[in-house]
Amino acid sequence: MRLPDVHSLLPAKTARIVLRPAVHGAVLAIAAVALLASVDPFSYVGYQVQLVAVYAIAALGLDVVVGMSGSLSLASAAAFALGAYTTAILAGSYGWPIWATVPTGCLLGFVAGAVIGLPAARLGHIGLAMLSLGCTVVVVDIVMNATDLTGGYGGLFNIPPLANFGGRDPVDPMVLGLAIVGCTYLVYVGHWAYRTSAFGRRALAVREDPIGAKALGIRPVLVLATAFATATGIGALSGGFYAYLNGVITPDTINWHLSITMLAMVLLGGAGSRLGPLVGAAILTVLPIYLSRYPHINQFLYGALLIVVVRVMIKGLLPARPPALGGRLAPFRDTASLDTDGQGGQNPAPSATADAPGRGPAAVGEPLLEVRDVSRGFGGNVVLRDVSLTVRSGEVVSVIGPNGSGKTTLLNVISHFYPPSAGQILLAGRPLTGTPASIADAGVRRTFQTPRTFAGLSVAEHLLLADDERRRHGGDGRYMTMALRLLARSGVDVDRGDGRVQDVNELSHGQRRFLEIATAIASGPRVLLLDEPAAGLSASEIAILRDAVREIAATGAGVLLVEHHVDLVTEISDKVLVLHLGSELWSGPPDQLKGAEEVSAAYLGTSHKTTRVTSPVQTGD
Amino acid sequence: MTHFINVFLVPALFSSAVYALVATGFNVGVRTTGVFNFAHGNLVTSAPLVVLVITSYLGWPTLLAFVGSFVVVMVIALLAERIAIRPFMHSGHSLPWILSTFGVGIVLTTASALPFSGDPKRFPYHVGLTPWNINGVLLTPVQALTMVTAVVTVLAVSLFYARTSLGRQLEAVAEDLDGAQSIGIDPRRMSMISMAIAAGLAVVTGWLVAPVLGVSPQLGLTITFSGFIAVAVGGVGSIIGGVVGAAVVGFVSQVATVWVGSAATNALLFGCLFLVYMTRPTGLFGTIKARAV
Repeated sequence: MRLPDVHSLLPAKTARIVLRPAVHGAVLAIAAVALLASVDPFSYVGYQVQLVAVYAIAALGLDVVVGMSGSLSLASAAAFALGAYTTAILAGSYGWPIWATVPTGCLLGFVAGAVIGLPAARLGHIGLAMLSLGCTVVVVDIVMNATDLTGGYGGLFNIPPLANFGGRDPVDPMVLGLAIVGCTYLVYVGHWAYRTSAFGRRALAVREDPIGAKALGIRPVLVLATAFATATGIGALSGGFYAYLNGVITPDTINWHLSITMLAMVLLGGAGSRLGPLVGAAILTVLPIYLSRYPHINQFLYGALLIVVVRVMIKGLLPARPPALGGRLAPFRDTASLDTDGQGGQNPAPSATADAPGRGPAAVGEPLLEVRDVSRGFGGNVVLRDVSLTVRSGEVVSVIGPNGSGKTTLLNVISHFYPPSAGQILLAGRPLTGTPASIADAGVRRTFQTPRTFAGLSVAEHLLLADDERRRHGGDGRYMTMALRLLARSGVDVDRGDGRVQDVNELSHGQRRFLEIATAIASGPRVLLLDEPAAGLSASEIAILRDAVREIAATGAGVLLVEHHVDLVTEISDKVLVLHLGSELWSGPPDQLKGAEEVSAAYLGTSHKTTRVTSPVQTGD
Repeated sequence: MTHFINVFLVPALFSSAVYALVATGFNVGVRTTGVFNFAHGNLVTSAPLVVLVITSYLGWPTLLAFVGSFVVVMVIALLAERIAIRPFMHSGHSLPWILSTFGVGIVLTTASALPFSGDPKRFPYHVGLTPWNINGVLLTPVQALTMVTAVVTVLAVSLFYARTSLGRQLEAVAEDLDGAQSIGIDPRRMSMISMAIAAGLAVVTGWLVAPVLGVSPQLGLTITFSGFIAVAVGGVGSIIGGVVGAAVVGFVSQVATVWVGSAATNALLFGCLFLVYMTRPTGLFGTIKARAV
């Protein structure tokens, strides 16, 4: 089933041009127009070509929700009906021309999608699936019962594609054909432009890991609602053309089976892939026409197809692959290669520069992150009790403690994945409150114990995703340079140079860890929270980590490090805080840590004297 | 007053009972497997259809037809469990099983349009549709039997989970799949059992509603949609929540039928779902965990 890779057939430069949707889409569109011109647009073949184009529009729109955002919308039929009936009513009863009706339907679809999508996106996949199914069920009811407007069961018949307001004569069928193919081309190009833009990256990030996405300042609800509204608007566009193409619209054509059909198109072709929805639409438009002599076979086909696709070929005929966007990082890379050999070497970090950081934080030494008497309980179980700490600009503060002492909870509380039950958190003197995404927006970025990377995004896209967030707040490209340098040292190729992309799934654990940290760095943090970054890293990787932490602190950012690896902590920290059972046990400079008796006691147990002589914090995980 | 009871209260209680049965069937499945079987409504409507097919096409006696329909639906349900539910049990991803169970529902809807050319049929086998007159209150034996069945079923299922060893094993899988497995509970067997119980409930529900609603191919999705609303309103996985949600669905539908017009039923139910989701996404009796399902 797998098609040969374009890269293996063509020279790299030609392949890059051919792979551009604007280029190969234009070839397809010209072929379609040529076919339409050679056969009559009203002929059987001409009709099929236009029908494929109309359904392809809807499938490409739906793919924004299903493929890119990984959620399920069953509102395709509702959107389609909205566009079709808007067009039919405006053209038939009010004499609007084609260039006014179809965009109006599209706009209405977008607005309706936003109104439903904003609340529905809060509900997760099942909620969105059922609310969108509800939309379809209700729209069908409305169409059936608003007889004056929609013609009820009988539908609407007089739908002339007029050339201008008050016109009498419909446009030439070839003009309608051109409009349909032209719009399909635009939607096809727009579909991939969405995927390769910040919208697409955010959608995929939310799909792969909503929590990791929030930590970058992405708001999953907004992302999903935008995708839903886009899909609804495009679906309505498709419906408008369908009304003109068929010249008739009845409730029979818009029941929930249509939603399932469109879903099957996207999944069969390949959800989230460049060409997939188009191919799926072509197959499932033409095939049923040939199967229609056997009653019911098409519905069986769709049902069986859903099960088969989900069980054996979840990626569809043309599996989605991340776009090659490494070139967009080129401006930052030049500086990177000046500073380091960039070939995975172990060269020491460049000396800490005292440049003014990008977004002008407080001068070095000013308190940046202040945690004051923070507590957090879960039910009756108090996990953090009156913890206070200060991270100054340019400072590395480490938190250590036995497992279960509340270290990770402290990071979760600061980043507001669990808001504090009591106490106050300040960033540069201002209270830090809100959702995890708004905390990230304020410049407090974090990593997680298990690296959270986004499987559907390439390595370059991870950095671009972070860069999208950095740009929203201003700040210079120095962070990206730093991130690229970190990745180069850990042996991750951001761009493999042959037009292919570096797949995240091929990275080692350590590399994935560095990708997560590099993403956090590229987003331009004011405060960086690292949750056990050294866990599972080799000695040479820990050296790379140490240099990266020093480097980011040198920009004036504050670093809060939760770690078990005591050598690393002693080496890079300005201050150490020891947590025990949720409370502060000890704090002080790292060189006094090994002498602190209460720390040894906490690690080895206080109730009994132990004869084992162990370094206090070598427990590890 | 009796007019109000006869026109509104009795029908509302009847459909509440129907949806309590549907919601319980949904919840039994979703509790153990974490998978919402969107083909459940089709299982409900398949039972009476199979009865009609056996009596009309094969000419078997009615009793045998009922037994046959039970067996057929059970086989369909266990097949569906094997191909569309078990592979996605507690997988953490909802998209695959939403699609696979919807796929089963579409196949069943299409299959049920094959006999009788898909025309709506009457279902003549029931305990009686001539109402008893109890001081002016009219209640048909079918309505009475449905309400009694619903109450008994909900009590029996609750007791089953609380008191029996098998019930606790099903709960263990619901709580912690790996933990249950490590103490020797076979999740595949539990998934099968929960489906068998849900299918049994579906069959009984189908027999009870068919005399009132008739038999038609598109009814399955309607029952799935309304049943889902009952479960979502009550809180996914909560048996008692499902009953409360069913009452909301039953009464709102009857308000629509009596005072607004039955065309508005779906819109009003949709509004209810929307309202609950906006104010309490976990449903009335749901927990945070249920929300993540």
